[in-house]
Amino acid sequence: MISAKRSMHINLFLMNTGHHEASWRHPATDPRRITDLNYYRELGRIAERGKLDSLFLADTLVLPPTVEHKVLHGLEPFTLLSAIAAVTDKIGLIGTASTTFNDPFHIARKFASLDWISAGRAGWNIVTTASESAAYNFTDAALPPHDERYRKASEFVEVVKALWDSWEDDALVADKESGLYADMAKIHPLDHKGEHFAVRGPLNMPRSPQGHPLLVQAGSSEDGKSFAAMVAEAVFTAQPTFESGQAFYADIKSRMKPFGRSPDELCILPGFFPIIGDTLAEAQDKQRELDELTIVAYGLKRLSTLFKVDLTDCPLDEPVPLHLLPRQEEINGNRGRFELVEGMARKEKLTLRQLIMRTAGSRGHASLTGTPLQIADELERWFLGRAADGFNLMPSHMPDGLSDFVDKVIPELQNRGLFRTEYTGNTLREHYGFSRPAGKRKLEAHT
Amino acid sequence: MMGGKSSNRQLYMSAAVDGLNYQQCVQLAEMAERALLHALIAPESSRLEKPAPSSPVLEPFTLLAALSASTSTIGLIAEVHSAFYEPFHAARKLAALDYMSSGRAGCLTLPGQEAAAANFGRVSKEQLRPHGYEASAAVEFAEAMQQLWDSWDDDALIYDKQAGMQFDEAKVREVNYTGRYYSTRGPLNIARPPQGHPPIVVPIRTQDDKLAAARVADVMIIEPNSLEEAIELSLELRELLRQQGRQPEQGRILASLTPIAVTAGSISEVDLRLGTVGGGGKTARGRLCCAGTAEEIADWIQLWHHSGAVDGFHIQPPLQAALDSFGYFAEQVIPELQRRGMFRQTGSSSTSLREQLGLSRPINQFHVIR
Ligand SMILES: Cc1cc2nc3c(=O)[nH]c(=O)nc-3n(C[C@H](O)[C@H](O)[C@H](O)COP(=O)(O)O)c2cc1C
Repeated sequence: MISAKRSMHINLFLMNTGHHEASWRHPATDPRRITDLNYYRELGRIAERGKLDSLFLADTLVLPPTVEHKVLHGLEPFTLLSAIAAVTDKIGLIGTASTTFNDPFHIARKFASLDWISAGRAGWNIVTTASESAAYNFTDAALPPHDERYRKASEFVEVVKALWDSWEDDALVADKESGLYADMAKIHPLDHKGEHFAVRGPLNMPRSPQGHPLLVQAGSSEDGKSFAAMVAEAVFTAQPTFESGQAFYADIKSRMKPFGRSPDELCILPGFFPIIGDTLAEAQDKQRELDELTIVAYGLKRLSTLFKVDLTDCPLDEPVPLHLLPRQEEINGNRGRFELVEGMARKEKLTLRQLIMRTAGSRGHASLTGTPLQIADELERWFLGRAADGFNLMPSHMPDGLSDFVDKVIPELQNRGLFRTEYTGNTLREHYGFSRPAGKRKLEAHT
Repeated sequence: MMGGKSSNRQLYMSAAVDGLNYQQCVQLAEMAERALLHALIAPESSRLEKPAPSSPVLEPFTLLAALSASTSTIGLIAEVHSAFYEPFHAARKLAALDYMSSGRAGCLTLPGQEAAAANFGRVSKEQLRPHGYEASAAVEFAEAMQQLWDSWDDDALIYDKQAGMQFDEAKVREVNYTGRYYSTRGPLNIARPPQGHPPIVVPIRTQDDKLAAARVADVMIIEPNSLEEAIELSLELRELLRQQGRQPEQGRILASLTPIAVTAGSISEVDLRLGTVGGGGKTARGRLCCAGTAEEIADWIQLWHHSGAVDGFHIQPPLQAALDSFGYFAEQVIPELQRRGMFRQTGSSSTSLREQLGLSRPINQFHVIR
């Protein structure tokens, strides 16, 4: 069997001053720039220099309780991605939007609009929102339970896709002579009435350049993994080790068949947090510099939020008090990450201080401090060993962590034939090697 | 021509930027900025117009955010349909736009078309617009956003690298806004925007709109049939403003206008059909049009502005050939107004939309209490 050569995909997980929680205190970063468009223009250019597939903006709908010591996400994804679209040419633009606190019509419309503005570079990271306090910014009712949120998400995505498909590809005529703008016979309402949504449609916008903006998902619970296998074309995930990465990879791909999908219709992109030095010693110095800026009080708050228990008075240099933690099934929020970090503390018998430091940069994602060669080796191992189809790159601090990767690691990956040397396509789907989904046809007319 | 008498009152100008073609939107925005217009307004639609769809529009926040990267001084006002929107989402997107554009964001609020309700699962009319919604929705929506913007003090962010303190916790607060139609706890997850509050624009169509505008609007857009009607309407609006304890200059009044160019020998079919050459009047589509040469259009604008009825105009190009038509306005009519000393000849030194509109920066409402 001849199979096309796999090639690695790299998404830049763009987060304010960088992924290390103390990055904003680093002398080389400027936290005031996180609301400055020029900052993102520079970062977008560096990412395009490295021929990265896409960049991604995470999002939450609440002011995090830990914000005192930690930089905010900054701007809002739709507005920022649209502005980045205007100052970049090729890179894909993936933004988070919640299925719990939005209307499908708005989300379909905003992504279609972003797809038009960026000429086919939009992607949607579908999240169900794990934050219990986010609910109160929209209503006085509590966050719906985990399984309910995922059921709602399935229906939400189904409606959004149907809205994107409500115009046939050639419905827009725009014939100035005859005055025919759109062919109404090729525009179809949905009349969707489901458990959570009633949406008549059609969308008030023609089918977008990609047909469907790329669908991305990042759930790690059972519900989350099944949902990803059903709808996602790229999956973000936090995997601390090569072995857990392989297991996750096999797990997700094996869940796809029942949905009639082939494993290569989905890219698995584990997070990867590199600290790069020309020598190992230099890389380690860089890491030390960042770790020493970590604020323990912040780390305690962060772990308390994740574990749903107040750890602020617990002794730092004794083992993590696992007996105080709730059981995993009791977690309505971010269940996947709870399991990961709790497992890390239990298996490695970490003290509280060690756990804070271990998760300060990578937050439980894979990480490596080393030379460009060592980093390229590690990425190659994950890629060839089917622990990853590519990576969600999490630079420690910006812009240096990103330019180090682009200028030192990317050329090494290119030399090994693992990563593109030029963009070969224009749309986000083309970067990931996916075709444009066929639109609606008037099938009835042919039968 | 009406002589060279110039008024000291500023003439404010905004223009609609719409359509689906992003590159054309960029061209229009750049043209408007060169002509020193104060703002662009991106209209919204929450449904597909049937049976004859008018040109669909890009979604306002995504469009304006992209335009913020290719313009540098012009205001960027997004239309939001409050019946289908959350104050938290809107306040946040406006704040983001305000940061990216260095203080150029604004928000035009409308309840949203009733016929669009079915796209948002609001099946019954009562669900869409419960009794009394019209009257208070715009007010509640604006108030909730303003409280969210005020959930951060201007100096809350300190970024003290040494101490590891990002912000001063005492300067960020929950707002717990609870209205009849909206509730939001806050605080917002983005700091107070550069303008404090991006200006609120309210189009005046109904009696309810007038009452709402008197409370929350920084700019009102009227759609009168005649100058007499405009004078009457603006007297009423200014009186309502006064009753709310606000000064007339705290609510700018713009008349929506479609200028139609008539250059020698180029009177198009549209112009003739409108029958408004050389004067102003309402068209069949309900738009106030003014057709003529650049001088005639300037005369007309001058007449209206001098009457004191309006502070300026919101330019809505005709549906056909919007870019060409706007080009004529920007490149012929505006210079004519400038020659007469009626329109600014240099851009403002500030990028803040509020400042350009002569509106003061609001103090934080939670400060008064502390
Ligand atoms: C790389 C990555 C990015 C994520 N980005 C977001 C985000 O932007 N917003 C959000 O609410 N959740 C985000 N999540 C969380 C997931 O959507 C999901 O809630 C979490 O992985 C827990 O999964 P579960 O709900 O299936 O347990 C992200 C997760 C990962 C691994």
